[in-house]
Parts: sequence; C-alpha cells; structure tokens
Amino acid sequence: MQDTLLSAMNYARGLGKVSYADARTIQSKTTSMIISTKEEGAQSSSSFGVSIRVLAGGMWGYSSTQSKALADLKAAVESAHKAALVAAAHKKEGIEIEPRKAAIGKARVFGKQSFFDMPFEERRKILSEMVDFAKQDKIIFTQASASASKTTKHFANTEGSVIETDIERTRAGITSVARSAAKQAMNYDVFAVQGGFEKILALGLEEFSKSVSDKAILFLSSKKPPKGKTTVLMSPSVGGTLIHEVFGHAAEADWIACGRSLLRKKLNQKIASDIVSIYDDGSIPGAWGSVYYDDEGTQCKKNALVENGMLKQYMHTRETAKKLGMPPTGNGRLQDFTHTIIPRMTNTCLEAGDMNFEEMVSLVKKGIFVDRYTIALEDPAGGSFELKTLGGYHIENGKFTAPLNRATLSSSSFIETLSNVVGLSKKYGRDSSGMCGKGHENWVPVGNPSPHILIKDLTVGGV
Amino acid sequence: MFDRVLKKYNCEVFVSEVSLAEVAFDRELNAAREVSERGYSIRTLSGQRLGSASSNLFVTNEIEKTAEESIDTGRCTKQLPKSFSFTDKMGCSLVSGTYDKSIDKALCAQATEIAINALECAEKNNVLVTDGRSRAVSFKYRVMNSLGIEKEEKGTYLTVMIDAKPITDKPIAEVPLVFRDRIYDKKKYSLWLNEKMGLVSRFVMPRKIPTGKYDLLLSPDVFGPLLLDTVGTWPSGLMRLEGTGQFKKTGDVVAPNGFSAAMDGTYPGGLSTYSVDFEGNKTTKGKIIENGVFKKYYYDQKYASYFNESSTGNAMRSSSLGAEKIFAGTTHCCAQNLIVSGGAEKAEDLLSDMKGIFVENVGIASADSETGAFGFELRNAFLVNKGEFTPARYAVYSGTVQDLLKEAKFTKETGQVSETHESEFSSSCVCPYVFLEKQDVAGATKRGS
Repeated sequence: MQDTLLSAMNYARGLGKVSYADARTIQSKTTSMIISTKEEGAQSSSSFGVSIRVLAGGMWGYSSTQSKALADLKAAVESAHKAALVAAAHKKEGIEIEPRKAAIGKARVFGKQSFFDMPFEERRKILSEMVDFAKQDKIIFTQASASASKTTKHFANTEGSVIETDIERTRAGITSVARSAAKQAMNYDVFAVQGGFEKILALGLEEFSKSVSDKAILFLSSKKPPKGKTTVLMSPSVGGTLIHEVFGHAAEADWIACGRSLLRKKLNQKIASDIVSIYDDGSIPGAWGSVYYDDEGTQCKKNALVENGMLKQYMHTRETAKKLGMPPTGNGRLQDFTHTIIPRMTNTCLEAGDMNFEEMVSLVKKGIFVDRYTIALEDPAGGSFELKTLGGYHIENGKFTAPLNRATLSSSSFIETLSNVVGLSKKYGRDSSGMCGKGHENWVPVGNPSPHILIKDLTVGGV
Repeated sequence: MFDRVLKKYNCEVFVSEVSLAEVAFDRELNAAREVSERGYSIRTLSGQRLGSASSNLFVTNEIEKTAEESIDTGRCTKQLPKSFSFTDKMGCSLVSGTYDKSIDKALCAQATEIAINALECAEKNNVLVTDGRSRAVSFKYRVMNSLGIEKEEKGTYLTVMIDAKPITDKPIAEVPLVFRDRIYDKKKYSLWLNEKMGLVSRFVMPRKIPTGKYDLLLSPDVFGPLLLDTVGTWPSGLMRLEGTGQFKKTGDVVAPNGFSAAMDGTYPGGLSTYSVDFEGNKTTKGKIIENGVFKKYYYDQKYASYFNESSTGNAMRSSSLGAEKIFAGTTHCCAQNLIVSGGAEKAEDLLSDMKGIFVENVGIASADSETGAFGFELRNAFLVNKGEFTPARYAVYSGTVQDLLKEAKFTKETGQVSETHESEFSSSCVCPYVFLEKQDVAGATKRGS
C-alpha cells in the first residue's frame, strides 16, 4: 500500500502551486459488548479510508477515498488540490511548513489476550459477572461494557517519508444507578488501556464493579456542596482532567497562533505554582494516548511544557511550529481519514509531588474531596473552565465527613487556579484516559496521568 | 448488491452516503476539506437474537463477512421478545425529506461563502473569530430488510459554528454561536449573523457575579439541552425498560399545569425531521406531556416489542465521530424534535422589568438523565437592571430540571437548538426562554464585595 501512497504523492508533486502533500491509509476495526440488568447488545465494525492533504497556494486542501486503487487516490489528490485552491483565493497569509528529510518508522502495540480473539461466550461471561458483582440492595440498574479497537495506519508524503503504526486499545466500564425513597444517584467508572484484555482482567473486575455500586449507594446520602470559593482536593481522575482542560488545550499551538489562548506570549513566564511541572509524551509505551508517530509522521517524544511553574513549550503541528518559529513536537493528529490535522494532546502528565494522601486531607480545614468527573470544558481565551463532578466527601478539620453531592467547579482564571495548587501526592492513581474532542469535533484518545491535587479557592456550586 | 444477504439472512441493511464540505477559519480561512463516505450496517435476527455489524467496504465478500459478524455478535445476547421483528410497515414512499439542491450541487463553494460572510460580519462588528467551521452536508440513507421493505431518505444540512469575542487583549470568554438549518436561506443566515455578532461585540469587560439570589432568564440555547436530557429522554422506551427515568407511568403529574411538550419527527423546519426513521418506519408526532400530565412513551422497533407497543418511528443513529460515520452508529430509541409550548410572557417585557441575570450561554448546558440534576458556569451572561445590561460571568448555577419546571414562567418566543454540534444527525428542541425567581447563584465573590 505504501508504494501506492508514494505514487499518489509523486502525482501531487506535479500539480500547480503544490508545495507539500501527504497521505495516510487508516484501517480500523472495533468490537463492543454491553450487558445490563435489562438487556444485552453487541456490535462490530470495520472501515478503511485514505486521507489526502495537499498544501497548494498557501492553503490546506483535504480529501478522502475509500478505495486502494491508485487511480482513485489520484482523483482524491485532485479533489484536495481543488479544495485548497478554491479557499486559497480568499486567503491573505499563506501557510508554510519547514521542509525536512525523509523518515522511516514503525510502531506496533498488541496485547497478549486480544478482546477480538475472545469468544463471544467468554466476553458475555465476564460482563455478566461484572453486572452480578455490582448488584446490591438499592441498586436498581447496572450496565457493564467492554470494547476494543485496532487501528493500522500507513503514512507517506512528498518528502519520501514512510511510517507504519499498528495499535490496539481496550476499554471496560461499569455504570450503576441506586435509588432510595427520596433520591436516585448514578456512578460509573471506565478503565482504558493500550494493549489487550489481560490488562483489564489484572485490574480485578470484582472490586472494580462493586466499588462503583458502593459509591452510587453512598451518593444517596450525599449533601450539597458548599457555595462559592472552596478548597478542593481532587482524585487523580479529576486532577488529570483539570490539567488537560485548563492547561492542555490552552497550550495547543493553533490556539496560540490565532490569539485564542491566554498562554500566548507567556513562554518562560510563571503560570503555575512552583510545585507544578507538566509534560506531554506520545511515546510512553502502552499508555492510552500514545501514538509513537503523529499523523504528520513526526516521531513523538517527551516535551516539557511547564517546569516548576514556568511555561516552557507549546504543542505543535508542522504548520504551527513554522508559524511560531519552534520545532514540531509530534502533536499533529486527526480523528480519522475524513478529518483534518490539528495540534492535539497525547498523554499530558502532571509530575507527582511529595505528599501522602492523608497528609493532604489533614491540611483542609473546610473543603471538599471530588472523586469522579462527568464532563469538563475549557475556556482558553477567557481563562475560566467548568468541571462537573459526580461525588466525593465534605472535609472538615482535616477529616472526611458527609458524602458530597454533584458539584460544578469553576474559576475566573486558570492561571490563578494553577498558581493555587498547594499540594501534590507522591503516588499516581488511575487516570481519566478517554476520548477528547477539540472545538467542534475531532475525537482522539488522550491520557491524563496525575497525582492527587490540592487547590485552594475554586468556585463551587451544586445541588 | 445486498440482495444475497437479504435473502440468506433475516436482516435489515442500512446504507448511508454522506458528502460533506467544511471550511475551517479563525481570522481568515485555514483549511478546506471535501469528503464523502459510504457505509452500511447489517442487523441480523437469528433465534430472536439481534446482532449488528458495520463496514464501509462495498465488495461482495466483505458484505457477506459483515452479515456473518452480525450473526456472531448476536449469538451471545439475550433473546428479544417474540413480537420483535424488522418493520413490515409499507405505505411510505421512497425519497422525501428536507433537501436543498443548491447545497448539494456546490458543497465546497457554499461552505466557503458562508465562512466568508461570517468573517465579514465579524469585522464589521469589531469581533474576532477565534475558531470557526462552516459545513455543508448532503446525505442519503436507505433502509432495506428481508421482509421486502425498502425506503430512502435524502436531505441537506448547513452548519456554521463560531467561537468569537470582542477584539481586545483582555481575557474575555468567547461566545459560542451555532447556526444550523436544513436549507440555505441567505436572508435568515444574514439576520442571524448580524444579531449574534452584535451580541458578541457587547460582551466587553464582564463583571464577576457575586454569590446570591437572583431572578434568572435562561435563553433557549441553555434551556433546550436541559429539556432534551430529561423531558426528552425520560419518555423513551429505553428508559422505560431500564426503569431509571423520572417518569414512572402515564397519567402521572410530572410538570406544572400549563406545561406541554410534543415529540415530533415530522416538524416542518425541524433539525431532526425525517420522513422515515433509521429502521424504515414513518416518523410521527405525539404529545408526551399535556398540561403537566405524562401522556405517552416513544419507541423504536426493539423497545416497542418489550411492551407490546408499535414503533413511533423514533429509531435514530447518531455518531459523535461526525455525520459521515452515521452507518457505524448503533440504532437507538431517541428523541427527534422536542417541541415545548411557549407561555404568556414576552422576553422583552421580562428583560425591561427584571433585576437579575440574563443567561445567553453557559459552559456545558446538560443535565443528568438519571436524576435531572444540572450545574453550569454562567459563561456569557448579563446583569440586568431595569433595561440596563452589564456583561457578567464567573458564577455557577445548579438545580434540578424538575424543580426548575415547578417555578418557571415561559415566554411566547421560542428558539431551536440541536443536542450536539458534532453530527448533524442529533435531537433538537424548540423551546421558550424560561424565567425563574430568586435562584441561588454561586459566584467568585461575595455580594457587595
């Protein structure tokens, strides 16, 4: 297939005003199963497509085809070329990228026990057991799910680069709904890994399933959060999401370049407390957000973004790197063959601190501990953010007291929030690895490893 | 192409073909993509077990393989009730829907034109577009099954999504603007652009909202998603089966007298209007709440079979991965257009009399579909004092939709909002502005400070 891609790239080179072109085939397979106390369902899907990108007249043009034939690839190249030139007529400042030498690379990640290879009877048995483990008094509904995907990409460009990646990802999750006479409460948990189902089994599905129901029942007696500015202790799952939303998106270089991010012109300035160091790394073996080579063929590596509170770097595509005069960082990603490449996070990690969890709780005179999150939204231009949490505990005089109801966390300035980080735990916990959409779509897998985080003065509201 | 599997298996084949042009822009145009994807999903019924598999490879052996995979996936699932079958309802002609030939003919040119219009209007209003996408979509889907049913729907969408803010170096939240329609009405789009860019230009130097009790007026953009997650979801056959919704049985009083809502897949101009649903059933219109009383559930073929009911034509497919991936989305029982009746108040009168907060946009307008709880950041709001508007933000408002409905007054004016922006195929809600007295708002400062 790579020979066909290279031939298509040769063809692109000959079209008018073309300064660069690349192409990638994306072949993916998914399989999933859901079992609840009420019903069962399973699904599989497979797809193949080729994404073509042409830089012509200083404008990107994208096209795609579902065919492997060279003639169809050439037609897609022409279509991308045409789309670029239609829009280029209205463009004031042309897009450029720094030329580079041809690269050859390969990366493969497979598990020992692929979910694809597990007979449906075995999958059903495991998920049914999860549902049974989660059944308890007051639990009115439980649903267990598992899925896996295999994505194979071949990349080639007009510079002669040829890259191949082959990655398997596996996820399992459980949801429980509890009900009392006065209230209904929901809890869920998801575990996502790169590799096979053996990593999911190693988690201990009995404990995993039971704990989700235990907490749903606990939330039945939860009390509303305090209102206004509050000290918040976050689990690694919530903390990782906070770093991803409040900092990560603001450090993606397309938003720096267009003036959308408050981190613009803040390189080598203090944007967080001294104990905060953050890096992005798409090369961590087996981590959910790792891609090893990004969708422009740049090899991923560890990029220090914040060191001891100081902003050191942004996350780039080749286009933003050229525009801002910095090196590419391997963060150019696309959702699939019909989408565009933009700067995206991979695994965005907050470095651990030096505290024990108990020590962190003991520091809180009056505040809350938030354990799970449901959804979060960034605001890189305005500086605020919104993070919806599912439950946790009230903390008074250094001790957990009543269970906490849903709380919405916000702040008027994420730089102030990062500067208000007063404690980080020594240990990492299970993070909130999942799918991230940017702007209006474009979903990619991302990881957010984080320790527990203690932050003062967050705005809290809730019922 | 599918004759062989339709004869060999008891199955339903859903085929979609979506062509899409999208232009990305901020200060100017950045990238244009013109793509199309064809794909199909095969649902098989074998021993009353339903399986499902999808693919975008249109070759005979791949189609056969996909059908076999579908049988495999169904093999280990629970049997469905005996009454379940694929639809055998005739009487709905092939091809209708909301279709604009001018969009279909020149997708990329249309997407470019509406992007340029947006940028020109922004410049005129001294507004900076920080992230914009204009998208023209043309789609076709066909449902065939082994009972001889074959139906086709064809349609178009035009979507513009813009994040914009006044031109200033100050940290000001962007205002998210979304325009979506089924046909390209230049006048309507131009009016919308002028109104919204005018609104953005006013949002300079927002004040921090102090903690306290306020009268609130929520726009349809805020109220609609809360309704879709709750009032629009609780009457679904799925929630009835799971027993997790807040509507327990028909005839119960679930809202104040005067509150009425309909589920309408046929609503003219509706963003979720189709002549046939994604299982080939004719879409319908029905009251789900009348004067506060819960009237009826809505169903697809599967959930109807659990309750010995008929499908109400509410089978949908959605994909957060984009409209072109619709074939790969699971068939589910879903709201189409949720139509909530307006009230007696005029938004203009309420705003001229009120002392409180007008909430135009929030961070994430969503409610928990199990409990009805919501909580969001007031991102683009105005402190209103007898007709004077001061931009304001940095506060959290939370509650439950059930309590909100008890205390609400509704305006005559309504607006339409889509559930998601990622895919054109999503539920929509037509609803009024909602006025609430003395609501608790958690701010970044204390009142008076």
